[in-house]
Amino acid sequence: METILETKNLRVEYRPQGRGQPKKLAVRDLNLKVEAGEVFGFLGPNGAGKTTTMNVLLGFVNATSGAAYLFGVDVRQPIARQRIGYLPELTYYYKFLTAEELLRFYARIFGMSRAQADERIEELLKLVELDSARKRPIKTYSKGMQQRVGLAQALINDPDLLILDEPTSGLDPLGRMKVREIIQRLKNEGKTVFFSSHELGEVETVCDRVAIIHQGELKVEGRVDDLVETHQGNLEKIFLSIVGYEGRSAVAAASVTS
Amino acid sequence: MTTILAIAGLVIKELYRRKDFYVLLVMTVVITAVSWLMNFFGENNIVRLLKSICLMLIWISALVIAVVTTARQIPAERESRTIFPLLAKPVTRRQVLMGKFLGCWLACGIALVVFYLFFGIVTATREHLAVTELIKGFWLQWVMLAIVIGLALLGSIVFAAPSSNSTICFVVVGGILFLGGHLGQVAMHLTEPGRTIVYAVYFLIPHLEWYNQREALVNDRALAAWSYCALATAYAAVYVAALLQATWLVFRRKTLNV
Amino acid sequence: MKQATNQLLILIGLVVASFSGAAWLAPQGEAVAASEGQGSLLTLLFGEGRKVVGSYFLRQADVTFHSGYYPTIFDGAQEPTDRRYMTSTEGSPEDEQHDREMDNFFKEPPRWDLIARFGRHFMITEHTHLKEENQREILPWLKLSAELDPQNVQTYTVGAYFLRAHLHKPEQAEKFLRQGLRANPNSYEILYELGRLNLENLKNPFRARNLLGKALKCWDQEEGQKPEKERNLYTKEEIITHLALSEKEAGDIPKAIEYFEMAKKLSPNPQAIQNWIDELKHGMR
Repeated sequence: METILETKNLRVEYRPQGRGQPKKLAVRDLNLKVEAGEVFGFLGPNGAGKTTTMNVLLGFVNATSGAAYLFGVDVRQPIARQRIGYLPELTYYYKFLTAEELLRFYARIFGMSRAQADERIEELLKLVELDSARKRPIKTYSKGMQQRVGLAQALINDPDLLILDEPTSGLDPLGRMKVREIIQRLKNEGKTVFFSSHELGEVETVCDRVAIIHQGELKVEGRVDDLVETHQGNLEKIFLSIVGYEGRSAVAAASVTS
Repeated sequence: MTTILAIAGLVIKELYRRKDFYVLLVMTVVITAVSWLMNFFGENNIVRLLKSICLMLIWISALVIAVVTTARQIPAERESRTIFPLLAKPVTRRQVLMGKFLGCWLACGIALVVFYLFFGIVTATREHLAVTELIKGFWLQWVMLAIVIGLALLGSIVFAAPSSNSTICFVVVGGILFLGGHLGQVAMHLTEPGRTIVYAVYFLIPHLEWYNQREALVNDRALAAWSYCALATAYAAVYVAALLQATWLVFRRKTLNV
Repeated sequence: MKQATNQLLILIGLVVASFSGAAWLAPQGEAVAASEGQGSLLTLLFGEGRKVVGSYFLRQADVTFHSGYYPTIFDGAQEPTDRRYMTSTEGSPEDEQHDREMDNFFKEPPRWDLIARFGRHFMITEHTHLKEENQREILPWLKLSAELDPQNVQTYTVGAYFLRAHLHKPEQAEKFLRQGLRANPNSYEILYELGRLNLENLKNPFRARNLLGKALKCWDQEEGQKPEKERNLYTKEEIITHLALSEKEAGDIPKAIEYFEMAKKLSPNPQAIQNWIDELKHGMR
């Protein structure tokens, strides 16, 4: 099976904020491997190093040491991003453009011909159900519509790997369901999806494999079914016990009772 | 190049969808029209005052468009987080800067063409229009705007707020236009170390005053020969290249989070 | 509820205070404007800085007169503040001195100063004056300058000179000079220009005589207080000469001779005046 995404001993340190302060270690020797066709959930509490890892994969941040590869190409080379799609969390797209114009802009970046772009835009606007709003400026869109237009832009190049950062954050239940459906559909098409989320129930239903990261360190990685079986609990329980919250909550509960 | 052109196209689209350009154009047209109707001592064929007012408004408008449009480009991308999906495509930071620069410069060029057409019409209503001199004046101003845009783009990476960047740019550009050419004479009358410092500034700054041909256009004087215009263009190209290189050096390691 | 009522009361209080303030300030502002006698839009726009802007506009008239060829404070020559050369005839001493100053204010930059040497190609480096048919172009600047700085006498005399001598609009010239006289009632320069206009263009020697007579009195009042060396004797001689010419035109030849005799004492070329005197005396015989 082809390895789509790989990190080898990935380490990211941020410069200290002030004089005399230590460097901030965001990611500590992370080793990950995502195979073709997988939906991979990347979990962790806020500040765990998820976004930093994604930023390295997308070339926004350089690793202090170690390496990261997409399709076997070093992420520092722009060509590594030719076959990926990325949906960032909470992005407000160019509000003076319409959805159609926004997608055409990204299509141009991928060097798509006009005919190819037309066909792809048509297809995507139908997929994200924005066909009727295609000529409206993005500034008039609701949050859910903005997230769907974001998903459409991530898919413009028909990517083999989709990186989604909190794709359902801030959406209403209907919006979440729609995004889930789209991910499911992409999975059925054989696409690889790498996504971070706080919605553990959602991860459990959609993902094949998950990795939980805490304080920059990979704590657990494996198939969802296997993890549930090994830890004898759902994903939420596993997550809480890994980040050390379960113990604390038990102590708190005991003190309240006494 | 397709990527750079796509990004440039976006900037141009932004310019004609925003109100700034139209407001400045209407202001120029209205004030010039009022001046056109003015009658001094029963003389209704006065042309130099009219040209002077119209060109001054064109210069102010072009500078405002150049600085304000450029200053907000990168900060707006960072604030709305559109920089992330953009850089997640096979796009380098250098291409983003080049696209932004080219877009701002072409947008200013389009605006200047409209302004100069208006100026040409105003002039032609009252006297013979020297088209070649007008084209030279347009070209030199446009070339100067390239340096201004380069400066504003560098400022947009260095300074956090577009407003502070714009203010600094206006002060620097205004200072160079009014004093830049005289610094050599000022240095001659100073003692050391002031003399060396002022000379260093004199040789280091881009001499924007060369490109200001308003007085010649107003007073029907011949502008510099094309060969000198070409040399001035080459001089500006060197400064633009240096400014873009400096901008890239700062931007390539810049954290993108706002 | 109580908080909302309080806020409403504060708002009402502020509105009342604003209106009271405006009502108190408005008549005072109007009184100031009336006392200054300036209510134009330009005055309103530039406020106290109007004199500076007015001087700038007068300078712009001169820049236009030179079609953009003009020194700055950084150039070798000082920027001209006396613009008498604008009204002087070609080849006159003022004109020649002006040419000498203006032709050479661009000093040749040192060989190593490539910036200045190259910059020369983008500057206006030829000293020219507007041709007669284009001299109307300086008028708007003079008009604007007079609006903003009504106490600057030179604006009126220069403007009136161009209107009368080159643009053949003596009525406009008189109107402009009268406007100047209202702002500067004892200006001998304006009175002299008005007298000359009446004599040479409006062909009214009687009015010219009165105006020039007043100009001479005003000259004595103003210049008489100054030390001898600082007195503007050139203008005095011009006033007296034109007074003599007015008397001649009005038919009072003895009075004309009397004025010419006075002018002869001040003139750098007394022989020319003596010739006029001889001519008049010859005519009397």
